[in-house]
Amino acid sequence: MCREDDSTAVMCRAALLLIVLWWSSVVGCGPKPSALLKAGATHVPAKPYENRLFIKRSPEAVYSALLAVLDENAAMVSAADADRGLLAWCDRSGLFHPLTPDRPESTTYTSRTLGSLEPSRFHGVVYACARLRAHSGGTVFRLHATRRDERPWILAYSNGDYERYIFRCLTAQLDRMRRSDGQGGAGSRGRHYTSPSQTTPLEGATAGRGAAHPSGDATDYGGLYLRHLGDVRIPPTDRIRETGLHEVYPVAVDRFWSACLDVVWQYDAVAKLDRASRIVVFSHGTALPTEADSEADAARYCNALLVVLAESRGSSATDVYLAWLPPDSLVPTAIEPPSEEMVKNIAEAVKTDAHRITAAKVAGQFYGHLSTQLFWDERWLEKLQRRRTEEAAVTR
Amino acid sequence: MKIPYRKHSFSSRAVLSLLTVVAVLGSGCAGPASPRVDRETILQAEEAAVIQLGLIEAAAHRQAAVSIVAPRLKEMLQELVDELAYVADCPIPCRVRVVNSPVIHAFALPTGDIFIYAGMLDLVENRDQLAVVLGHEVAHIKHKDGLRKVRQMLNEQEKAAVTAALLGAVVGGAASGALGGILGGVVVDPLLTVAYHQYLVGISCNVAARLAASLPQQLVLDLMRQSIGRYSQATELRADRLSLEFASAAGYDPEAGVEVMQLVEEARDRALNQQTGSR
Repeated sequence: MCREDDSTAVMCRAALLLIVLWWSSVVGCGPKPSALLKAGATHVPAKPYENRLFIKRSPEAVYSALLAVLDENAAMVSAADADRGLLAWCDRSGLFHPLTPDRPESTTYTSRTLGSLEPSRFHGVVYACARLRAHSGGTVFRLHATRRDERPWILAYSNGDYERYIFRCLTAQLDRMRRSDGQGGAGSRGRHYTSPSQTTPLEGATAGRGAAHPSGDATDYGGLYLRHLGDVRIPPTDRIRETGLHEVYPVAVDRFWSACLDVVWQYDAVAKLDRASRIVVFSHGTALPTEADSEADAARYCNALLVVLAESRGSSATDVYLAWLPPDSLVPTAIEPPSEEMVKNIAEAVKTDAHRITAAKVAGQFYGHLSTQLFWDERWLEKLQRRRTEEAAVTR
Repeated sequence: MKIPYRKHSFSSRAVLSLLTVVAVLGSGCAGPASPRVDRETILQAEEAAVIQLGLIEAAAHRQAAVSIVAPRLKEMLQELVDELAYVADCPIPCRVRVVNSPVIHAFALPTGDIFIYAGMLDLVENRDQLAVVLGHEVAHIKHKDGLRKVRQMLNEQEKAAVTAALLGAVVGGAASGALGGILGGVVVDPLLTVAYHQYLVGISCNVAARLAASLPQQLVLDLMRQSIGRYSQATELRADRLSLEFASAAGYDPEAGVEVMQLVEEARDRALNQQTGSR
């Protein structure tokens, strides 16, 4: 009987296996696409990317809460302007998941796992910048975050996880602050933070004003990114004035500065900022061709560090100076457009002068972005509200 | 003692009967059923892949491109898009984004994201013309032209291999901002000038080069080549026609469509002249 029981059990198992095999052959050869997507897509965005959050609190409260969040996360504040609602920082890359997968051949690649967890496989630094603006009785909080490592031509965009993490922390911190305020005192977890000074404690010994500390062997910005752009210092204003491209904008300096911050917070990194002197050092890049007569795919991403100085010229004009900080010296240098000869042999020129060419291209982009940001309302607001019939009536 | 024996005996008979049924059903259904189900699986996979790629594409564009920080402008444009999407009965919510770039360009993604460039806002002269431009993008979203384009691409190439690559790309997360062409990047100008074409290539490079380093090289090349591809003429003409219908239904003057075409044509001529003059 026992033998018969065993044989029956084996038959049952075999039958079940056959049924499963048959069923799988009927319903299709592989798993369903949704299962495929879930199974493999560890860092693929599952929901729309969002970098904007509306918070029903004042910009000052949000700013203070953000500082607290950064403090708790041991992030390094690199640039801050509390009055204008800009805060830039460097963070650990463990919380950052890139939009596209990291390349396995990189030297920084490791395939370690912690049990079932797969931590971010790259070291590197997250460069983030938040822009806060008062809107509809609250604050619009915008965040831009990218990750850099020692490879200067690599820039990773976020899949949205980092932004969501900051949003969660910020919301929780604001709740703590509200509770703390309600209890009539500031607890240690809900205390209000004030804006860091020009040289934040986290910046360490490399911060300060005066001549830049060149990193010596640097021929590109890769090392700087790994060192949190700590070698970058705010250059003296007279040096920026001497070397920088000079433009006069017919707007008050406050309006210019606000528009300038509206643009640079979206760039690759805001390295340093002096709100009193209205100087901001930022990093941005562009694609450059790498071979003559190359196809579009031969382009390579290249960075440049630029510094902007805005000075008031009366009540309705601003003097603007823009200079480039080369990677080997980090001293303000004149931005020169590439010569005709360079343009003709751009791929050759890129081999020797990539950063100089990038600086010129980024400067051009910056002026374009600034112009649109400053004057969009004059350019579009009236005409985009106007109807075609009204226009015809005016013409008649 | 007997009860279990009977149970097992009953089970054995039931199993044998079931196996017989399975064998009969299997011999009759497995053959013809598999191709039908496989095709559906591929279609589902394509749609899932396109949406996923659209999410990546939208995220890449939002991070790579510089936006204009102007809530009032965005509200005004969103209001217009909402009007058009309502009259179009568009099943996907549309969100408008303003890119701070001088290129005369607008495109839509299957996710419902519409990107309009500063160059296009400079070009149009009134709200009616803007309604036609945005109506064109709403039409692409409503009719899932991005998905159609992927299917067309798959039909033109080895279907299984490309599907596998597409799925692989999505599963691995390997897609780039250069996917605009596949997913519904639309250049409103029907005839790209040399200058404009080069400019677009430059932009594609710019976005792609930022992402390229983390992608398998061949995939990047393929995607970047696709990025300057566009919809078929028939698809564009249908979107043009629908844009006039949507604009008209929303209370805007469809005559503005003709004006927009003229403005684009003039801009194209200017770019061509500049290009010729610079040589």
